[in-house]
Amino acid sequence: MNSISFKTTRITILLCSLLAIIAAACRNEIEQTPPVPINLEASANRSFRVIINDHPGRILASNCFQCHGTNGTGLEHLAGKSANEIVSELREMSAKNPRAEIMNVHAQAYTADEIKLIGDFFSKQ
Amino acid sequence: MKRRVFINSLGASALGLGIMQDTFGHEINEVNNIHSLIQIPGNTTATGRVIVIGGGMAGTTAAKYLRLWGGTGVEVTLIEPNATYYSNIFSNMVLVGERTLEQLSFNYNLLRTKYGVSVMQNSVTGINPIGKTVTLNSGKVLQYDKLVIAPGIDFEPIQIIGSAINQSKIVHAWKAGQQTTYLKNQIQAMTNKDTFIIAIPPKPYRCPPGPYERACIVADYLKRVKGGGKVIILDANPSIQAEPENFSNAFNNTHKGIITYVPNATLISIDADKGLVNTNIGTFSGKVINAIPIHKAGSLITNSGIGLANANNGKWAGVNVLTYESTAYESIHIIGDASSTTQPKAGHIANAEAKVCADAIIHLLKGESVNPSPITNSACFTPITKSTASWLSVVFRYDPITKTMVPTGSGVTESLGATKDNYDDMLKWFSNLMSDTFA
Repeated sequence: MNSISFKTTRITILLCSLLAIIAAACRNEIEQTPPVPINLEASANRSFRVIINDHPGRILASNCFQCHGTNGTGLEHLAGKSANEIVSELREMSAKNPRAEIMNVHAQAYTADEIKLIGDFFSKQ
Repeated sequence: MKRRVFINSLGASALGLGIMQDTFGHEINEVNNIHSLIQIPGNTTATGRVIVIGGGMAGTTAAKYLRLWGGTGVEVTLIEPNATYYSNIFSNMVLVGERTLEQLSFNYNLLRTKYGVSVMQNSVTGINPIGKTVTLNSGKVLQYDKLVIAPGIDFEPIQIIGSAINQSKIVHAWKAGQQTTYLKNQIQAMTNKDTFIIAIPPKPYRCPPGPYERACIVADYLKRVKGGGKVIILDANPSIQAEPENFSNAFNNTHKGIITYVPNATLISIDADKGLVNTNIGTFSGKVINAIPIHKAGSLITNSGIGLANANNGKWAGVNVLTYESTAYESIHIIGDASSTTQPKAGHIANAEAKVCADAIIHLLKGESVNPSPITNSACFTPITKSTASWLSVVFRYDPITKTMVPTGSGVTESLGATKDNYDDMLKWFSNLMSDTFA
């Protein structure tokens, strides 16, 4: 459906992450826990996805997260794609009939500068 | 190139992970890169105590993003009376056995473990906007610097007559949970001679395409499984409120002979003993009556005692859509269905509102000015049959003249028909949306 192609790796990371999450979930069943730092232990030997917290495109790009995952890391992922690829695909979509594909609606809603910012955000994830 | 990965065997439903919820009988075409572990940033210079009340789509997203973007200096407490959230999205499919409620259940474990949100299973009995405190039913008093309220919707009563047992058979099932199962059992007991009536309240109501989607799903089920039956839609509104072209096509073609659409039909009362729905334009008879009541903001807003329901005749909360701060009090923010904005009341856009609100609160805690031009978007996929879906989407941009969110780009846009491709996209949408909210 989507012209953005899939990345076909990371199944192992997914499984490891799930195990870590299961382990983490099992340890934290107590109600009313005080604010705790992120569970470093569960993920000690994984590579963190350190978010680019102050990227100026963050809030704009967060409109993509519902359908592409937090920081673009879900199904139909955007994280790690090149900014040029994202920008040129969005430009292409913005010229098409919006009713033909849901992404066309979204591509038409942003200015050229906003699209650049969004592309840059995901390229740095 | 699509690679097929079956993940049913991972047992993930026990985790309440949205990403795994699509697998029952359906295959997910591609699963990768889903759960990179995310590190909460350290001190971003934003410091403060934020209390979020309500663990639905809006509140949960706000709690997550306050930590993800705000860092460890922002202490976030989420107060929610229920341990489990049952997704309203996809709950129409539970009515006809295409999903189970269990498959639509989510919990707050990852909010705790991954994002360091303090989750309190409790309810709120009072808010003091001057002292900035929230009182719980346990008697505990919590202090906040910023308060986010996301209580969702509540309902006005419907006049129902008849025996107590028959009255109890009239449910809305417009909040997923027990009533969903109850309505499912009623629908599954129908025969091909029976009629299902769905009554739609005047707008605004939660999920504009939802009632029409429900009519389609039930019609599809009756046709496929029961070999016939009727669906009558009694709409208090003058016309179809979402995707008019797609739903007209569904009523007149796809589900022709099963669905009857009746606009301008305002519900007056229901006779539960006789199975009659009385409206301003006549009386309708049905075996199963599904009446969706008139909506208002959740009782925490409408019964707040401090005037938070200051919009639309005291039914909804007025907010500034740059921050979602209440127009009644500073430092109280109201997001999701309970707020009065130009945006629809629905889970996907509630998630977007929550991000704008979280971002604004973080800026405010840093002593900075907020984003002057927020953008949000609404997207909703709606199954029309067991294997096809349509969609509706719109992007909103802040308009400084009217100080409201206005549709931009192609405006409110519905898909060109209902297709299998859309149905497949819908499964991925649900996975990502629930994951972006709860995981």
